[in-house]
Parts: sequence; C-alpha cells; structure tokens
Amino acid sequence: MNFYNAREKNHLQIIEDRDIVNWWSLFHLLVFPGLIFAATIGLLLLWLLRKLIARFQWRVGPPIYQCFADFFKLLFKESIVPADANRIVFILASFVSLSAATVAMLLIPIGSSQPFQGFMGDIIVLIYLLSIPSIAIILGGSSSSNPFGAVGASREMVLMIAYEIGLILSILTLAIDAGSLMIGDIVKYQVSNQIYLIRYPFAAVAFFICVQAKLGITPFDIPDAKTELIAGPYTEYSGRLLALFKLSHAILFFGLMSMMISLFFPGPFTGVYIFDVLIHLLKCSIIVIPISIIAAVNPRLKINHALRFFWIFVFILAAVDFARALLLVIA
Amino acid sequence: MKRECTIIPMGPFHPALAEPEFFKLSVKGEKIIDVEIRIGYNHRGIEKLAEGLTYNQCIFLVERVCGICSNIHPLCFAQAVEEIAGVEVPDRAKYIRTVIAELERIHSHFLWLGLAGHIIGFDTLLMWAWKARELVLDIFETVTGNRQSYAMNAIGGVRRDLKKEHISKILKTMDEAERATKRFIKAISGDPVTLSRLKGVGVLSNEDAKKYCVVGPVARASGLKIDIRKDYPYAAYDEMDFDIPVRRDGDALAKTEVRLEELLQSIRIIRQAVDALPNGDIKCEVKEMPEGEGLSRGEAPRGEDLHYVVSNGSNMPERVKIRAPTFMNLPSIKPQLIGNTIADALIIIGAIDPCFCCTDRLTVVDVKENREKIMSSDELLQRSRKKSSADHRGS
Repeated sequence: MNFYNAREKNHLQIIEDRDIVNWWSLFHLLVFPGLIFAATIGLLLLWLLRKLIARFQWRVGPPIYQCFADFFKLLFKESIVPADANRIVFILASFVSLSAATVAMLLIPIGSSQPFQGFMGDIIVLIYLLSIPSIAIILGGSSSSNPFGAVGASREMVLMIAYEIGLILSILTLAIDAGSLMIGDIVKYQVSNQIYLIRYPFAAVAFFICVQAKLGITPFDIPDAKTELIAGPYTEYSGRLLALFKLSHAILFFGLMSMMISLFFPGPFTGVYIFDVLIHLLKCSIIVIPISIIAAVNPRLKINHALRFFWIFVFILAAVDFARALLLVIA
Repeated sequence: MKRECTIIPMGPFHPALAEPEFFKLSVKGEKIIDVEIRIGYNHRGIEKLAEGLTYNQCIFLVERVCGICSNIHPLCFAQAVEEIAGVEVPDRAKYIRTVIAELERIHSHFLWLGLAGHIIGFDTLLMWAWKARELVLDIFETVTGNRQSYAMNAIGGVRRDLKKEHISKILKTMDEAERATKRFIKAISGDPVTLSRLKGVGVLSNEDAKKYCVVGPVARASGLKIDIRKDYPYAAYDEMDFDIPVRRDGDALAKTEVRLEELLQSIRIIRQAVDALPNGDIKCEVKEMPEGEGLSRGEAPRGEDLHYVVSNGSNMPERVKIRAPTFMNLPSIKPQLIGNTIADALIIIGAIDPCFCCTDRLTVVDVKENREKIMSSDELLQRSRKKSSADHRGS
C-alpha cells in the first residue's frame, strides 16, 4: 500500500515539476520562437522574396501585408475534402506539417548559441522534423485522389530523395568537425573558432541549394508546378487546410534560414538578446536576396534534371567538405 | 496494358491554357504513352453568323475570330471579297496592311515568348517579353485607337491612314523592339537551364510535319521552307526584302529560334514598308458585288490563314469558310507528345502557339456507330433551347 502511495506521490511530483516547465515550453512553442513569431517572420520573409522577384521582373510587387492577407483570407474560406479522398490522412497531413515545423523551431537557435529545447542529438531530431512537412504533403497529395495530386506527390518524393543526401551530408560535415551532435555546440564552436562558411564553403553552398529545393522555390518548384500540375499535391486543398500548409511553409522558410545562419555564420552576439535576434533577422533577409536572384533568373528544372543535379553536382560539393572534415578529425 | 497507365486530364480548364481545350494524356510514371485531343469547347458558329451579315459587318465579325491575330482574319476576308469584286487595292493601303500585319506578328511572337517562359516556369521571361510587347501595343493604340482588335481593314483598303508622326514613332519603337529581341536571343541561347527545357523536347520530324500538313513557324522549325508571304505574296510583300528563318531540328528550341528570328525579319519589313510608303488613297470604292467565289490566304503569326467566300450577288456572303492555322497544327501535337514527360507536355502544346478559339468546330462523335457529324448552328440552337428549358423545369 505504501509502495503504491509513494509511487503515486512521486508521480504527481513529477507531473507538477513538468507543469512548471510546460508553461514555458508552451510559450516557446506557441509564441516565441514557435508558432506566432516564426509564422510572422516567415510570412514577412516570403513577402520579401516575392517583392524582390517582382522587382527583378519589372513589376511593382505585393504590399507588405499581402502574405498575411492571403493567409487570413484562406482561414475564412471553406475547406473542401474530396469525396474519394482518404479523409483522415487528407486532413491530418496539414496539421502534421504545421506541428512538425513549429516544434522544429524549438530546436533551432535564434540569436543565441543555444536553442530553446536543446538536448544531446537534437540535430538528428531536427533533420527528421524538417522532413516531416515534405512527407505530410506527399501523404496529403496522394490521399487526395486527384491525378495531379498523385503526380505532384511522386515528384515531391523524388525531389526529397534528391536533396536529402546533400542536406544531411553537409550537416554531418559540421557535426564531425565540431565533434558534437548538438546544434548548440556547433554554434559555440564557431563563435570561439572560425565560422563554417569560411572553413566549409562547399558544404554551405550544398546546404543552400538543398534548402531552396526543400522550400520548393524556383528552379525547384517542381512538385507544385503551376503550369504543369495545377498545384501538384496542393490541388485539392482549400480554405483552412491550405492555410495551414501555407503557414507551415512560412515557418519552415524562417526555420531553414535560421538553421543556415546557425550552422554556417552565427553571431556576432552582443549579449543583449533583443539585438541578437534583430541581427539574426537581418541575416535572414540577406539570405533571401540570393534566393530571389536564383528564382528570378532560372526556369523550373525537370524532375530528372533536378535528380541528376543533386546527385552529381550537390553530392560532390557536400562530399568534398565531408571528406575534408573526416581528414581533419583523423589528423 | 490499359490498367497500367494513369489518365492525366490536361484541360478543359488548366492554369497554363488560356482557352478551354482538352488533352487526355495517358501516362506511365511521368512518361506520356498516348494522347487524345478534344477540341470544340469554344465554338461560336462564326461562319454561320457571317451568312447573316453584310460584307462590311463581316469584317468586324471575323476580326473577333481571334483576339491575337485580329488583323490577319479581316485582312484575308477583305482580300477574298476584293477578289470577287475584282477591285485593285491602292498601293498605300497595301503598304499599311503590311505594316499592321507585321506589327501584329511582333506582338504575337512576344506574347508567345512570354507564355513559353511562363510554361517552363521562367516568369521573368514572361514579364520581360510582355514588357517588350507593350511597345507594339502602344503603336497600335496610337495608330488605330485600340490595343487589340484594331479594325484597320476595310473592303477595298484600310480605314485609317498612317500619319507622319506615327511613322517616326514606329521607327523609334522598332529600334527598341530590335534591342529587346536581340537581348532575348542572347538570354535564351546562353542559359543552360532554359536550353535543357527546350532542346530535344517535342520533336516534329520533317516527315511528320509533311504528313500532318503543319503550317507557319511549326513547319519552318521542322525544315519546311513555307511562308505565304514569299510563296503567294499578298499586300505589299512582293516588294519587301526578307528571309524565311528555317530550322531542321523540329524541337521546342527550334520553334523558339524561328519565332525570335521572325521578329527580326518583321522589324526589317516594317522599316522597309514605312520608308517606301507610297502616296495616294487608302481605300477604293467597291461599287457592286458580282456572283462568284474568292479565296485568300495570309501568313498569320501562327501560320497560314485561309478565307474562302462565296457571293450570290447580294450584300451578304452566301458562305464563308475560315481555316485558322492552329486547326492544321493541333493534330501534330500527338506525335510530339508521345514519349515525352508530363513536365514537357505543356511546353510542347505551347510551342505550336495554339489559338483554340480560332480553331473550334463542333463535331459530334458517335462512338457506338463510329461516325461523326458536324452540327449546324440551328441544331446547336435547338439543343441549347432544349437544355435551358429542361433546366428551368428542373429548378
């Protein structure tokens, strides 16, 4: 009897302890740097991308609230689930996508050397979390019973196979060099030594290209190619469900930009957190510039060309720095 | 065999196709193994309508066959009627017709270039090409008052004269258009990603081109040196000096190159025509219409346009037959598509510069008895009345 009581008490204690932690993690998850902050910044960065591309194309471009207007408009629209679709998978896919992107924000350092919920091996979890939105859209597209959705999903799958190798290899390069699987350690190592953009430029380029593919920005907007597949996997999505996908895309955009900064050129840290975050956001905006130039001057690649490009060109780039990192560690 | 392939419906409404047309693609993975083309979503019965209008009204009707080639249709129609009436158009009118026809080709080819860019996901090309197209549309607005549907042609000549200030504006704009074209040629031939999207895509062999009787830039990209402007000159083309660009490859790149070079040739023709613009009337009077028939052909931006008019001596035509270039080019999509991927399907369809509303005929296909029947306007009307009354009853 005592035994049971003791255990129960102990259990309650743990739950109480967790509750205190949970309130803060809930804040981190929903407000900063999670849902609200990341979504706002993500939508603003997407606006910047659209505006820059528009200027390259001799257009005026959208006003700054455009992405928010699009999102809120979608929120008030009806979501239609096709009669032939697998209802549960179709609806869940958008929630899974959004939650994975939001949780990933907790593991990415923003304006500091430490993520909000860092732990040993968090970079592996991060890689998984960041690939869940792509998997969710593959599921959503193929469950929608639309031929364009199915073809779009298969393209997304091929594209994922193409870029994941380069992405993981370039992250592993840094993990080997820093000697840690914690993203916080990688950032700290760079602050005290040299930033990896200088030490491993090839890995940085490979990572940059893979991020562009992961975000589906021209020339890698292959899965949802408007003029070929209408909207690809998103074809049957409408209203709130589509809004969730848009939101997770925005969060993913900001998340991947932040990750690129943390992995390749973190700092300088002033010590005042607000300024550090502002510097971080400025860097995000600077990364959008090359992305928009690449998007403006290139047509969309074909999926087989993209596969060849990633498996030969990007893989070689990433492999060169991977080999260098290995040699450095052994020597 | 049938169960192994997926059906991808391209159309009737598709974001890349501005007009409704249906391409039923049977695909295996991403590869197209069969294609079925269905036209007829845009039928308006223009040929039948023309039988109830006077010749002068018909000019405006045939102008609305197509929004992009809105000069070549009235031009051909007017030429056919002039042939029946046996009148000789004044030289100045012929030259003005040439200038407007070539300006139309420039605007149409720029429009196509932009659309092709949009189809391969190169929206910057779309925006830049359409910016260049605006130059020509500005000329149209100055000269004719309209950016589209210029209403320049009349039976026996043209309706508006080219003034001196127009000519200087045209020449100035031609310089800009030439610079823009050369920049596009350089940009497309120098960009490996664009080349990879166009090269070897949708090849129409020389034999197939002959077999399917393709016309215009599609034929010229497959090595057939045909151009109505040279072969059967109309308007003032017999006095113009220009080349016909020809490519042998027959792929989307060849079609692009042919159109881009045609832009330069059009600019060349316009410069010659406005320089040598003769003085005189711009229109001659057509006193009466004898019985007879007239056939006229013109080189539209998309290829050969044919108008056939039968007159019974009254002020209305007895029969008008229009054959727009896309009607000839559309079937050739089939051999071009098979063996390519879905990613290439739209650029292949786009590369023939299709203009579906020019093309549409309504054909009823009875699958059971394997026979086809063209529906007349009355039948269509009855069908529509029957359907709308059924709808009323239903609601």
